[in-house]
Amino acid sequence: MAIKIKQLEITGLRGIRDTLSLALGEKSVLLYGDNGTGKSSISDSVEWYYTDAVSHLSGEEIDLKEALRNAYFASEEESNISVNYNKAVINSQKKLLTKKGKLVSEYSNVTTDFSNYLESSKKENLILRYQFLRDFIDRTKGDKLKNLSDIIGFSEVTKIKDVLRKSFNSLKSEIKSQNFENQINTQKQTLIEKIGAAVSQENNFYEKINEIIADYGTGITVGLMEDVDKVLLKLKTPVTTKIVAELRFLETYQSSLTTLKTEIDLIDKEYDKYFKEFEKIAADVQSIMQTYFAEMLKSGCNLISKKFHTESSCPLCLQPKDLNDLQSEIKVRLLEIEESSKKKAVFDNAKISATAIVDERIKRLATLGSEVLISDTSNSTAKNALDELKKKMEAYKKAISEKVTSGNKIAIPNSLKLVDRDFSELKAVLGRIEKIKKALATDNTTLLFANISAAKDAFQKIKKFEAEREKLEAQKKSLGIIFDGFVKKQKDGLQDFIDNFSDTINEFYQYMNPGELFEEIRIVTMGEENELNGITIEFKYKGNWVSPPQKYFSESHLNCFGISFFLASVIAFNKENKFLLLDDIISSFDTNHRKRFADLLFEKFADYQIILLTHEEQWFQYVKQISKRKGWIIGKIKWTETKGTHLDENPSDLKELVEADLTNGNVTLLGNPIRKYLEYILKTICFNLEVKLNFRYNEVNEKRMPDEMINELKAKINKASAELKLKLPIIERLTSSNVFGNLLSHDNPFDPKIGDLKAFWNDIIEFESVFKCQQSTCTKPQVSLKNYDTVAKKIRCGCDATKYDWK
Amino acid sequence: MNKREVKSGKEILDDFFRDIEKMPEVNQKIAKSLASLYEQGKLTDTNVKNELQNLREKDGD
Repeated sequence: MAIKIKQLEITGLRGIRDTLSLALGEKSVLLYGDNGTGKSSISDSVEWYYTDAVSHLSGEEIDLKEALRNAYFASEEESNISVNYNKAVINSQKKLLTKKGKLVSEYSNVTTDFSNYLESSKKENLILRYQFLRDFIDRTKGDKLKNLSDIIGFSEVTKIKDVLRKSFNSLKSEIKSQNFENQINTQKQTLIEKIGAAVSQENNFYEKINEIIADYGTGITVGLMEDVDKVLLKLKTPVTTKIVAELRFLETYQSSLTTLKTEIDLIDKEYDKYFKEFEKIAADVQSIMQTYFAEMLKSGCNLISKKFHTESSCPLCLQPKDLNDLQSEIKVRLLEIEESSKKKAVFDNAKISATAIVDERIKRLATLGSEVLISDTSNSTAKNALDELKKKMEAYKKAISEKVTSGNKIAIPNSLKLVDRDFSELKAVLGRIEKIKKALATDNTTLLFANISAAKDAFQKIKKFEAEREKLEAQKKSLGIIFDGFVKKQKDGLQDFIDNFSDTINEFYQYMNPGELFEEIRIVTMGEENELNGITIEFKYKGNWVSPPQKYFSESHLNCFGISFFLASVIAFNKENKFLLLDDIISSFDTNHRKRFADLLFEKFADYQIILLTHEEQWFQYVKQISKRKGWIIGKIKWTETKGTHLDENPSDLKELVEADLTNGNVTLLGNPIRKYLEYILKTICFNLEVKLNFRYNEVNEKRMPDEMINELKAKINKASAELKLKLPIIERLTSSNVFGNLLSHDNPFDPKIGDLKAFWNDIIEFESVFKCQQSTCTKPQVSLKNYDTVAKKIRCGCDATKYDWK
Repeated sequence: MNKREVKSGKEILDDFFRDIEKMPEVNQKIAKSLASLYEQGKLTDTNVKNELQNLREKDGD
């Protein structure tokens, strides 16, 4: 069953304070709301109902639930949105209430039917798509095409693709910054020096150890790493331990610094790249600064295009300005910002890469600095040299961390570059190593212990680096396959949509632009085989295919294209829900295209239930004429301090609503509309018969109107009309009803049943008919003193069919 | 050319992460981890980076 909405009720959400009730009965609705009346409170509430989010309220600093709740609502009050459908089992209310001091939300319907329905609605993405359409329309011409896939609901796909791409790049960057090859080579040098071979297999390593211990009669054959430890234990003496520990430390120091020395070019290359990008951006810092203004400028543009700001001044600084000129200027600036953003992205990448390289070196120096022997007085010069190197790496870090917008210069590459003298301590360390080795030359056992110990350490480091590299490479490979697979899936998905709906999009476009020279429109994906940068369009112009489309497409044409795309996506994806919500989407359209869009909606989407919200008065008036003929519900949204956002119901709509609910047996909340209708007809009657009431403030009036008006009316009739006195029993019946009791306000403790309400409503209609002519031809049906017959001394309607004596 | 069924953005994502473990030559633990993050609505580059780090730190991965 295609789902349509029968009843929508919202209480205490966003600008809506009292209950706003839309008895849609599966019909489409057109709602006009001036700026600031809280029209979007409806779309926000519906978005929250379906997605548990409100996209324009998303942000770390905003608590969504707090922002959703009407600001005047007390903590014990319950905000909610109820949706009743043409399939009753999925009717539900989503409540926002305080539990244990915390705002929580919950659905009243916890059935599988409802959760399945919610899940399929999420797949349709029916609420958010119109917002992407609105974003699309608000964007600059150059920016529009990149976002076409968003308006058919593929924005999440693009977002996830970005996550996978970043993760893949992060692995690549990790492999690069580790520089495994260099680290492994350093350790291989140690192996050559200690055991005479850069072995890479464990069995070769054991063979080599067995070879060099052969003459020492250890009685151990090495086949495992534990066997190497046994050999070391056998060779170990208190003297060897001390000397070897010192030798090991010096060699670690030496190899760490040597590795760093071989990486000077790598570090410098990355810093140089970063420095150049920094200089470029710093030379034109204004262009980067303005990227931070992009959102503000877009907001300013929206304020103008949506006519929230109509004065001839800038909506942001309020300086006098022609709005058309201003809008054009903003669009030019947004295009410039787009270029700046591209430059900034290159700069950001260079910064990430240089940071990773430098951080890794700082980490390695810190590891060396944590060696126990570095604090030994004999190593104080080595420690100082290490500290100096740390400082130089920190200087790189400081330069890379400088904000490009600070106006500060950063160190030029040559001033930071590590040079030979930064490693002068290496010479002294090598001298000490040589000295120890010389002393050990006569002590074969200790030398053997030192060599095996260092070789084991180097071999294990190689294995560790290889394992780390292997893991990273394997992850990179997996992520690469996943990313490629994802892009293919995305491209296929888009292509499927294009293959199926190109004709539909073209048809909708042509509908809004008849007689255009564009003979045919074709949608194509952008990007190479394995990449997808977006989608664009080509069209035939005088027999030739033209691209890019901006060449001949005006902004209005592109907007029409976006709308056609969106409407095609409704047909494609709204499989279960046969309704759609459109909140203020035509602001940037010229009058001609607005009308054609409305015609398109009515003609091609007649079987859909459309919830159409607008603040464009002219467009509203145009759509209203057609809506009336098509049987849509039409309403105006108002805002007052006491009621918040509410519907300005006109009496005939109210009457229709009450009668429809009585027929369908919808008793809940029906008391209020009935009361409003009774108030309306009483005011009309009292006005026509000049029944006067003393002035009271509004708050008091709210509670006293129906019964006081009726009492005054009775008093007037008693004095003025014998014929109308005969009608007093119907008035008495009205006032004695339990439903009328306690002024019919929401506070009425009486819980009326359908029978009570029907009886009460019949009395109201009978009461109304006393003062309103029932002849269909009567042009002034209200019985009024304005039509007073001075000869017969009668009040009457316009056609004289209904009249009463009156003195 | 035969036209294929049109899928919404969410359906494309659901399909992809449902079948991710079946992708040839893809590490199962990485695939499972990504699918799980997607299921929980936590698929961000920071979370993926942390998960990959965790997997590397575990023995045998």
